[in-house]
Amino acid sequence: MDKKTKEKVSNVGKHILIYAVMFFTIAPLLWMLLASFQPNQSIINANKGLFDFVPTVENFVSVITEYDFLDYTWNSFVVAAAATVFSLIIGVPCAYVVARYKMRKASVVVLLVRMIPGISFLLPWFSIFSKLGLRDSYTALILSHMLVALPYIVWTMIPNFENLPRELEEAAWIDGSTQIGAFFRVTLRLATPGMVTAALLAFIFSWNNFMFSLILAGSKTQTLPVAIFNFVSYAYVDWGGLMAAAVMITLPIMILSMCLQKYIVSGLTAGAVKG
Amino acid sequence: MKKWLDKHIKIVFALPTLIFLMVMVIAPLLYNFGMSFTNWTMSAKKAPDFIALANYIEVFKEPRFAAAVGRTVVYSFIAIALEGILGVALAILINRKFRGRRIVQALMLLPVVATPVALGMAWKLILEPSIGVANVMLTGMGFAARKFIATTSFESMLCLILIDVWEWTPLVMLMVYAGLVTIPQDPYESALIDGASRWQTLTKITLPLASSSILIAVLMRLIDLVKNFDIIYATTQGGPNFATENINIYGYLNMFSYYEFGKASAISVLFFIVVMAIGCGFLYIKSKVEVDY
Amino acid sequence: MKKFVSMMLCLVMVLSLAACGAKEEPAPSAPAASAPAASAPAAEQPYAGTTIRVILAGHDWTTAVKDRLGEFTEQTGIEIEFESYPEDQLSTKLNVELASGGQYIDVFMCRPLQEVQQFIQNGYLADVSDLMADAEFQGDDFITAAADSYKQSGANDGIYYGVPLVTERQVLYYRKDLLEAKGIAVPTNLDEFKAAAAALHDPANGVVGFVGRGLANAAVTQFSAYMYGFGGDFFDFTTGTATINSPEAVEAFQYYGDLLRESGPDGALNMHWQQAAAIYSTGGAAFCTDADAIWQSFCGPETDVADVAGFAVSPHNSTWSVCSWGLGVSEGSENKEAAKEFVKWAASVDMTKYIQGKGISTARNSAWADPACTANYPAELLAAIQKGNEIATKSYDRPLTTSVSAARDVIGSVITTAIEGGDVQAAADKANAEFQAILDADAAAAAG
Repeated sequence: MDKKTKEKVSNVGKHILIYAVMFFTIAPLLWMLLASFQPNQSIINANKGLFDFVPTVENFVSVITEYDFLDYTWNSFVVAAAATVFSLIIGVPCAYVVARYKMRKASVVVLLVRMIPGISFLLPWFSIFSKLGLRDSYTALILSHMLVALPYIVWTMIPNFENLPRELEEAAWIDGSTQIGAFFRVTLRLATPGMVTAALLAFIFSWNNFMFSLILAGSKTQTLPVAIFNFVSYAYVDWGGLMAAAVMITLPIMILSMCLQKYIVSGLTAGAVKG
Repeated sequence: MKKWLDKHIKIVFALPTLIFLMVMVIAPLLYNFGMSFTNWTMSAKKAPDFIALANYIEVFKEPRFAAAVGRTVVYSFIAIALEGILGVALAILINRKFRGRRIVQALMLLPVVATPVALGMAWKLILEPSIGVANVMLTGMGFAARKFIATTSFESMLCLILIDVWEWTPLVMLMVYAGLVTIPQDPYESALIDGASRWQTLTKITLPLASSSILIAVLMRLIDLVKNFDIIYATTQGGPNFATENINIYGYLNMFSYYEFGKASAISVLFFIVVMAIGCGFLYIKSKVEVDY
Repeated sequence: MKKFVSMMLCLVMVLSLAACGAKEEPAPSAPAASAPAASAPAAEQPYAGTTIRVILAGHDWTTAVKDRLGEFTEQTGIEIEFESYPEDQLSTKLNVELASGGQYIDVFMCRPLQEVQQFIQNGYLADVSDLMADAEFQGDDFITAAADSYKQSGANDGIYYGVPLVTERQVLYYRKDLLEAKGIAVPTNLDEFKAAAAALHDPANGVVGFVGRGLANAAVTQFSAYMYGFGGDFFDFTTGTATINSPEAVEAFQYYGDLLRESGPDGALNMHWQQAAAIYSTGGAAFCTDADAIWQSFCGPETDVADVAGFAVSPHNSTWSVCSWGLGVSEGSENKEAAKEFVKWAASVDMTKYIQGKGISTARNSAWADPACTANYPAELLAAIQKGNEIATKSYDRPLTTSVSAARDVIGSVITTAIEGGDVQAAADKANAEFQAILDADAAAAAG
């Protein structure tokens, strides 16, 4: 085998591998998608054959019309977006100094927060927030979700800043810029792909958070993961509605990650040119 | 002003985060610590009695707690090994150029993105031995039907581990990938000139340079694995016969099912100490492995 | 490119900030706007303008009531802030809020046999005896055992801590077509039942003989009816002695385990009613025993087995008739009187009849006696329910103690062992000791 065929074979192998992994990853989700177009009785019996059903959009219609799905979506969006943005604002600079000055103690504190099991927070938070008059408010939800988002942002940004070449930043200092100025003008730009990744993850974790929302949200601020339980009740599980709701919850995030993917990749090429 | 900012950049940049975290965490932590020495049953009319270390002694005596600790260790160990290796391999794979890369990347992220609540319910239905699609497929391909999560044997735990691996490996992949992206190109160029093999490039350049992000991805996952809750809660709730009960589920049941708030607080204090030890150990490793360039 | 990203981030931020402001604004002005809408004289509406927060369980009863909440507001001028959650989530939510004082909840749904004893002991529930004594409300119309499940067990103080809403009994679901094909009569005792289930067990053709709950904690309530049939019980009320390793109880564990292992589906161990209903409703089982309240999930009009659905009284001839859900008023509530108004309306005779008319089994005798209210039940089911009410010897389907959940976990472990074919006696002995410890602790807590 000459070098060229060898390369071709490895290329084909690579593709097969990637698509196989991808298939296993999305197969259960495809099943969910399939289920969201099925009537209840065919979802709960796989023996009938996977495709033996008359497709229906009724599940989606009932999700949108019978349940106030759009309100919940809005609530989820507000909370996740605000938690992500505020976490970025305070978390990214923190990650920067932790990376630059090797502030190990600060990083440990951030890490410790992630380690505490969430259920320990529920009771004290509820009493504190309701005493402050923040029960069923966006503020309480955003603050609690920031506890999920912030450590993720700090910890994904630390290696990003560590890996960034210092030279560009130092060159800016020599050009007379302050360190803070250089951070905003040079470093942040270089770190954009990492920031997009971190923000995306933070947004997702906030969007999906269940426990904090269950306890702190009320009728006005209920978010999607809590609302999805409306399809489960004593005596009846609306599997079709549940799956349709799951598809609709996942959709915005999927679109978002598709869009942002572009920036992660573009960041890669930009880095290559400069590096 | 600007000079002052530059001089104190460490404090100015780090303080908001640290203050926020402290404020949000210290009160609950102290509250739990205090409650762990009482016998409070979440009563609104009866004040908690101080019972010193009785909760801790009770927890240590309980075989169910010891078993939960063991399962937490086993679960985390197997899952982190699988997720770490698979995640790094996938990140390297996905970092190469190939057709449809963007779509593959976005699709791979789906399990991380999808709502855990719905995922749990879907998995429960898929793995249901009599009517679930998993067994229909297995028998269709000529394999024997399995019981999956409906058994007290290790199989149920293994199923949960595999669901975990399925759901979270893409996250490890993405975090490592984000690290790979920031690796400068010049070491590769010089390696190319030196005629290094692919394997050498991987072990001598890519892995060491990505070590920091790999370690962080693994660390983040490890913490989440040790305090894993969502998947178990949504599928088996620790059953059958506590075969999949970990520390966090046990603590949850004590708090919200058994009304043993004092005992549950003691469990979470112990748990916190254990996870803290794991975290510090890991940070120590990180400081040893880290590469500067 | 990067400018675009930062612009987008800014946009998101501004949007979310704007959202915070916009959404919170209408809240304070809402009550003011709605107050004039209530036009009746103020004397009839002493609580007009009050807002109460009502937290209900995801249940058919809730669905039926939800549509008519507007009427209540119109009649009383009381605004309702409404939330509903499935039982496990409801329980967590209630625990957190009630343990921190319960001042933000006014009315909530709770399960008399599961959590109410703990709630009473913890001081979460307000005394509603005055409501039960109200002539207009007709508290004496409730099924006595159901109403009594809202009293503190062993206290004998006559105080009601809530009002019952829905009741259920265990019934036997069976497939008429399958029984007919094999010429098998509807079993009337446990031996016949076991034989019939074995005869109809045909997994190769996708039909098992029997399906029922096998998930330890969840199975306890269905298993209990079998145990009563064998003459066993959880514990002796007078002495507080655990009896789940008595010969009768062990026989029942063995029977239920054998039944599920020999004639049941593969995944019995992780089976709650949802999975059992999925199997039965798609034609995968010949028999099932479960609560009558969830019959629509097992063989309602939308299922595959609606046309061949048979109902009978459970074959062990000793079922339970229990109150599964009721309404309570939060002791910490600042609007207790308005909250009681809501309970009075939601559990009134008229409302109960309306709900019973939708095929939901309620807790009022008058609703059961009114033929118009039971017209929506399949005739056989109604007969099975009425027979069940007659022969029911117990008004509890789980141990009637304070730490119900812990006790269920302990007892459920014996069921798991039985289904897996392990040593039932040994498991029952071990569980009995653990259960006794729970009972003792509960007794000590009640005394102290």
